Amino acid sequence: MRTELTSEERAVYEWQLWVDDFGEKGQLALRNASVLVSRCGGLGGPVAYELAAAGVGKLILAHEGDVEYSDLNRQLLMTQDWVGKPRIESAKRRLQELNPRLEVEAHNANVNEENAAQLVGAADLVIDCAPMFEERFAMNRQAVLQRKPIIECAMYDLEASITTVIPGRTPCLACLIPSIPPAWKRRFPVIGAVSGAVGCMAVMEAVKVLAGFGEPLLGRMVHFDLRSASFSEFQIQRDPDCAVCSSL
Amino acid sequence: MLCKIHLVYTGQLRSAVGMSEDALEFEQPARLSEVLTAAAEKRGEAARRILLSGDGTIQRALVLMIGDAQVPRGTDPVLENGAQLTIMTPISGG
Repeated sequence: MRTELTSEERAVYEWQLWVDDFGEKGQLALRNASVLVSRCGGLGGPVAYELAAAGVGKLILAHEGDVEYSDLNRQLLMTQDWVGKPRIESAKRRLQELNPRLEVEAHNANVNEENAAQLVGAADLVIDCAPMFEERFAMNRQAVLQRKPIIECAMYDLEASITTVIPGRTPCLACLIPSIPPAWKRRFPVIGAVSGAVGCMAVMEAVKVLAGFGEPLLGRMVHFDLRSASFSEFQIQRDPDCAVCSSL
Repeated sequence: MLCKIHLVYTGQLRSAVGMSEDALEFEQPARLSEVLTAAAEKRGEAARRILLSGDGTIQRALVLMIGDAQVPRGTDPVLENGAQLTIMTPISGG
């Protein structure tokens, strides 16, 4: 574990070291942290990029498949010259161009029941950016089992929502959504700025939890609709019968 | 006095019904299940598939808010005149 910033780090992070209650202690907390981001597309891409910019020490990325033209309206870590090549390579390359101090553990695979325990186990915190509920439920189960904080963020069309889960204290994903929604469709409308907006909020939740300052969205969910530029905050509850976290 | 309930539709439900806000009137304060059934009847089959299960009960995957508070799962509270019900359909990473 690092106990001091280097002179280069002090120079790079100078402007955020001025943030009240964050400072060098917060920066060191980020430098010593590992964050799992699944996946690194329209939502996870901006999340990974902002985490890299903020100075997180290690990113664990899980995203299967090759870059497609239809990714490029929102997946900011993908570039047109990389169409047909693995997304995860493009993501790693772009992140380390921004922050060469960043360690990236890149998996050309999505989170699933087989790899979730190991991926979550290697992280201090998880940010759920996955589109498929099977992936999300697998990560949530492991985050609860391993008592790892997990930021739940999601979007659709011009709407998005976000909450922060501390297992045993706040509602987990399964408290809110106990089963795969029957009406869910894999392909849905996305403007990249919407996923980017909630992605940036997710990174701020992660920064607050890791650095131990501010007021994370614990037991609260923010939902916003950028069609009308309206924001709402809701109080959410643990489900006493939750199949995943009720025993904690 | 009529009981007017304001509804906010989000996510796939908003797309399915083509609007984000709605209102329903009842003769008296109405239970949540009555409100959702009435919304499904008013807004058609696409809304029904999202709001209700095959047996007519509330779809488990919905997150429902009365005012700014989540409705505890498995409960069927009464909504009073002027209540706002936000119906959140599950959304995911984009």
